[in-house]
Amino acid sequence: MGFYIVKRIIWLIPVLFVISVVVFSIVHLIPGDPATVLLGTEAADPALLKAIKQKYGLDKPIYVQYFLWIQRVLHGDLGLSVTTGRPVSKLVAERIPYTLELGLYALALALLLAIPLGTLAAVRKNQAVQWLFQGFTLLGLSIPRFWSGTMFILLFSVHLGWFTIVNFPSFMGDPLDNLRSFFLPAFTLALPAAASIARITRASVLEVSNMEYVLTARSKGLDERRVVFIHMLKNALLPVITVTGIYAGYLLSGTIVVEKVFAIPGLGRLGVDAILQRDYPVLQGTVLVVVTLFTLVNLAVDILYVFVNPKIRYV
Amino acid sequence: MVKKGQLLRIVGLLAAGLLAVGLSMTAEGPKYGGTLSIGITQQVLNLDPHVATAFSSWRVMELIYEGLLRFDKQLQLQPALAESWTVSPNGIEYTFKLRRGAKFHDGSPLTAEDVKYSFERVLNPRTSSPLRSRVSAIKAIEILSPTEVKFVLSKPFAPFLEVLPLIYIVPKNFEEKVGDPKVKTLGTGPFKLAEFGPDYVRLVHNGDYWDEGLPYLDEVIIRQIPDPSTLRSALRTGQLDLIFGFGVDVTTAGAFAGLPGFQVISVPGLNYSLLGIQNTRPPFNDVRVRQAISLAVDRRQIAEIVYFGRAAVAGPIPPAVSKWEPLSPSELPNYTRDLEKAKALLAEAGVSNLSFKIMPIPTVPETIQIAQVIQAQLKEIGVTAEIESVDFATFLQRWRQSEFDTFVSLNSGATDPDIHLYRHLHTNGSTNVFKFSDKVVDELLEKGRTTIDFGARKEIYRKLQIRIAEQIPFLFLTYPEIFAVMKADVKGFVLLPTQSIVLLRETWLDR
Repeated sequence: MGFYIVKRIIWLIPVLFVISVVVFSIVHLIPGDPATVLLGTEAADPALLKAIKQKYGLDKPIYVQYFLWIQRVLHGDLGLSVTTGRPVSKLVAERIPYTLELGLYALALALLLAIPLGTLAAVRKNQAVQWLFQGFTLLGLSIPRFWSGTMFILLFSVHLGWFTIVNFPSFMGDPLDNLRSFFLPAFTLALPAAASIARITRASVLEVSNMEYVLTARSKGLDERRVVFIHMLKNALLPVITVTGIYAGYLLSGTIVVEKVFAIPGLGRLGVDAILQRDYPVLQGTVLVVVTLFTLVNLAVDILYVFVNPKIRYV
Repeated sequence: MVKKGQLLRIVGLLAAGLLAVGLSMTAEGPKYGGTLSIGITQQVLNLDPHVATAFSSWRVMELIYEGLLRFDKQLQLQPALAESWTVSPNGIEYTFKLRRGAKFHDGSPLTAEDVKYSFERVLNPRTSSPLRSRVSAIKAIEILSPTEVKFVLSKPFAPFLEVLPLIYIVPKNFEEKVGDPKVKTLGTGPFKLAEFGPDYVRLVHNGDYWDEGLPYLDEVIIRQIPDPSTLRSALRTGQLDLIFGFGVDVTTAGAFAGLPGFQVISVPGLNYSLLGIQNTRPPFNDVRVRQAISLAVDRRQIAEIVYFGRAAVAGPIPPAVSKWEPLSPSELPNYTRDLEKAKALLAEAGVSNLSFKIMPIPTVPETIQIAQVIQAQLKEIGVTAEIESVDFATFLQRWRQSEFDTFVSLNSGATDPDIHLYRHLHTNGSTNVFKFSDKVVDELLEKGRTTIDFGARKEIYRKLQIRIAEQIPFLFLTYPEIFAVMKADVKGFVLLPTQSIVLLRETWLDR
């Protein structure tokens, strides 16, 4: 198994290399350039444009720009933002905590919602529970986050006054206040994932409930709670872990919308602003960091899977 | 019966109560202290006073830096870092006496050296300052004494004084002093930069400000909230005190109008919406086609539909700057809708089944709405306009390279007609993406900037307005009002037609 993990980590190198080429090409293929956007409709002086392009090395051939960029990236330098002139690594570092907290918080909320709901819906066969479950998962999956986020703000912040918006105190300063201020955005982000994981949980629990070992557990007179939580859930959670791993990655991309609606200065917003302004260094840096995070999460899930499921033997 | 003691006590209480009411009523003077939180939808990118171009950057810089002169509420020039000035009769020499007691935020006094350095930094091509063309008339800067500086122009440049509020004064060797001027500042203004966070800027009171007694506020926080609906909610929930700028429009104003605890203010704007035309593309190279389009467009309807009536319909000079006597649409040729004449002009030009594309700015929703209204209006003279949707960077690239039939956008206006019009309409204008070229317009523009006498200039610009309306290089459409919404206890805040919030120096909180 040790060999398997090492192999997976070595595989990351070509994957990240291909990603860097793809990221760089896509960013430079979109029409428009940062110098043009920087000047907007205020000036059209070609000399000024040329001076700005020269300053950021945008006048060099694209493959030269790539090699200069990758060389610096390998030294841990992501370059300077064209629009703000600040180091990209600093911009990214400033914003990563917001996105990570939002993602982890949402993941925790999604699991806290999905597993009990899914299990309940599998075990209790009465009409009301089924309706509630179907309603929750259908709405959760189909309502887009920019709409649900805006509605939550209007309902819980503007009308009920339960949550503050826009202000995000640091976790270290005041953990409770921090968790409270991040609740609405995390909940908005969690909903679609929660709905999906709940469905998988329900299906999976239903499947194991027909297994012979469950019948055995029941017939030897075990308490129903013990049957559900120890015998059924433990085995039903395997597919749930796989799906959760995939969703952990999707949650990272979901933060883009949620960060805009809730005005959270995270990585997603940094990336979107960079696209609009054609700030190549920032865009490349942000995408590279996000994609690396995504690959690492995938790796972690794969490794975790080996531990959880001893039936599967890799190499 | 009420006992004497009780009565006295009641009278005493009443008197105390009345006194308290009286005191609170007489306490009308501004109060010191407090933090004002402002929300805008755009990101503050760069604070280099001679390089930054973004709206959001200007709003922060104008609180930290100052020019030799400043605009007041009526857009009149007032002394700022210059106490007084004289202009030589031939309009070539401008002499400024600098403000005594003005200090930079590091405590060093303002000198003529600093003024010279600041203008030289703008003029230096290596700075790549977008302001450079505005001061390129300067031939020499002479230091007469530590507090007196003289500018010598290569030829008369009438709007020279109007440019000065935008040229911020920084100390000599500014770059060495601050390190990185994009994120560090050193100005003379009423506020100092305390913190430049990922999505906010925190400014604090400058205790050494030369205009004694100002500013009233302890702190100003300018926060970026990209979603306009979240911006409104944050004001409703009390997390913000003031919102303005992009996204704070007539709909926002309507949502807060009459809501207790909030006040909505509006001023006529200098910025205008336009339908840009590529003048060298057939059939637009025929002036009759451009006139026909102008005659077919109902500007009043655009103001009603897109701006709910909160926009002025006007020609080449903004109605907000009344001293230049802007001509109204009824006084201008081709600015009042006349479908028959439009059709006749098209027939005369031999154009039938005209169809072309309109490119709005995707990030500015009102330009899309304007394009839709124009599309419907042009249908009435049998012209087919197709709306072309591109992203912002592509828009800019095509705009810059004049790769369009027509486009709808917003242009920032200016108080002086030369700054307002020259760059767009002169054959060699820096933003003449319309590729418009007319000898008469060029001559009038040149005469307008080199004539010093105000009365004579006004007459030149009257002729120019009519010539522009005859030629229709592009369609001036509407000058929308600009809005700000704030809590009722924010006092003394005035928005300028330029969207400037520089009067925050006189704003206070009644808390």
